[in-house]
Amino acid sequence: MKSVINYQPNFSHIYLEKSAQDYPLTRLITKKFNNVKIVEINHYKDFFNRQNQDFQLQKSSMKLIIAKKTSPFLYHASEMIQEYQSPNVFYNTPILNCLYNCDYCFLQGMYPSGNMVVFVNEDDYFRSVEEQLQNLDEPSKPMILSISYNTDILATENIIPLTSRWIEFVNTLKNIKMEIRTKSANFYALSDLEPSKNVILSWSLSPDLICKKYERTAPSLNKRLNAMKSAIESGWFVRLCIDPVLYIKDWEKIYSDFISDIFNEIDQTKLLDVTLGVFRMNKDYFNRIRRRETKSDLFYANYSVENNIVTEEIKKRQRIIKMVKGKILPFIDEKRILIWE
Amino acid sequence: MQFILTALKAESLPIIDHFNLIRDRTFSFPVFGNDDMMVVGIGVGEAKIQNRLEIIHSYYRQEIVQFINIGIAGGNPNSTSIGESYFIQKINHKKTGKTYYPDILIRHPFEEESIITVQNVVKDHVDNYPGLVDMESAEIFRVALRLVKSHRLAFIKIVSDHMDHHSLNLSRNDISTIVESHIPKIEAFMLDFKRLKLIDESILNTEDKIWINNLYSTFNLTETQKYKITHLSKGFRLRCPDGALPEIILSTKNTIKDRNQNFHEICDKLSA
Repeated sequence: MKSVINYQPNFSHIYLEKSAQDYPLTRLITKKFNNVKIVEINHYKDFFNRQNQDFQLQKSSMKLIIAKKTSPFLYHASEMIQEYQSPNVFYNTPILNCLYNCDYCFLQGMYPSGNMVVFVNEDDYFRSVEEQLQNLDEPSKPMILSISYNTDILATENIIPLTSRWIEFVNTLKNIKMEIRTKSANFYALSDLEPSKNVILSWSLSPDLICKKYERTAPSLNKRLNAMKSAIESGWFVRLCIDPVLYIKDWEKIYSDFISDIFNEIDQTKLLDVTLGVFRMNKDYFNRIRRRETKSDLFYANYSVENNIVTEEIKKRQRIIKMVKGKILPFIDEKRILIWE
Repeated sequence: MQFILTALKAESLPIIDHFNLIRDRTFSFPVFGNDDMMVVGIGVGEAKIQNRLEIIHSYYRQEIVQFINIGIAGGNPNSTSIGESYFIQKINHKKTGKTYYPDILIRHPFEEESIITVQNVVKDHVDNYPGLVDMESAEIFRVALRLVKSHRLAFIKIVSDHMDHHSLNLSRNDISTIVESHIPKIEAFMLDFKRLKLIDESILNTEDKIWINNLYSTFNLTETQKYKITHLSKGFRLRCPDGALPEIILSTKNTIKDRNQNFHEICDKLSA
């Protein structure tokens, strides 16, 4: 029998940057954690960017770093997202790293540490969005903003209430759509808020088998689906993300059954749209993860590299997307299916 | 292999006695060990740390190595108690101003404190040192982090004095007694800490590596092909943790075409 490792619980320690000490969000977060040890640090990078860390091991006992972000507060979106072709697409990073640890996640290749950083100077972020709204490349089209590109921001809402603050903020703006992508079952944390016309809540769902094998730390498919249904019924704009579609044994049957089950459960007329994509990752991140010898078989399969992106070989990719799209089309018209190809 | 790093002979003696460690004469400096652990004398201060850690590590390069620094330290009278043991969460190097943070991933039975590593014994201006003070931790961290990942380092300090005149009166026996009283806690921690090594075990076992090397030589594969087969073998091993890698029965003609065809067939077998 293998020995059990006696890990410290997640957030057993908070590493608090000196410059972040006096922010209201800092006080709110530290108040939520009664018995944690607080270690003062000069700069979050002194802790987060240390040499020779083990991302995966740290995910077993994540520490929370509270810090103040400096400029930039807003970034142009990556080519990895479905809406990349649209103008005015941006993301920001209120939190670095995620409460969950999905096997295929690019964050493990992006960051040297598995610990989470939360930036508490929200007003600087808000100001950058307001300024960008005044300087859009195509002002006739809305600004699209993702606040959950490098984290699952809704998952941490109970301890770091940033999602509700961002929703309240974008409610004061015009010409913006803010996407909150999540695997969380935490919709109830937003139940006090009215649905916002400026907000899209996007749930990433995967077949149960994939959830259990590759998304072990995220809520079950059932819990996510129930949260998503509650959001739809409450009147929010809701996006369904089936991304990444993983090329596993019996994938056609697994995804076919999964899509049927999903659309039996939700009212598709009220669904905003669906996004689809296969496994893909920046080559440098992919190679970094492999070098660390991550224990997921996803990183030891046969992929092709196109434009510095590691992904399924094109014919396989087209076959996967064609099949999954074909299964969705009876429920959703083609215009509402966004695909990364 | 767990390396216990101690500065003073008086710190190492109770550990050597408790674990029945035997002097290893391979090394020209004090090293006492058994199959699982070694106590390594690193001397007082920073001077000998780099050399000794590099030598000891080079002998055990093939093993998963952990470094645990155990020793006495001065403590601030307002925040620490004499005789209490502390797990170090932050190390500041007084001379360079650099700060190091050991990972704290597993539960441990100690209080936690920060430490400042100084060049000379501190006897006054104690208020400048809010936690603990020693003469080795920062250098150990700096050197060891080049050799192993951060989660394989741990620092346990026992307060011997409050940086006042009492520190000058400590006998070897006093120091050994202080360390000895914490051995049950230290031993419990070492056992838990050792379990972290399971995470560091590589995906491929020795037989798998031999299997890959055999393919490489039998089928005249290129380095790139070997690299790819190694990755696919890891995928296979993760999907099938038990049993052998698949049996490969192919012709061994030496044309490039044959070699490449063999390579693709091996890949298909590993991906199936």
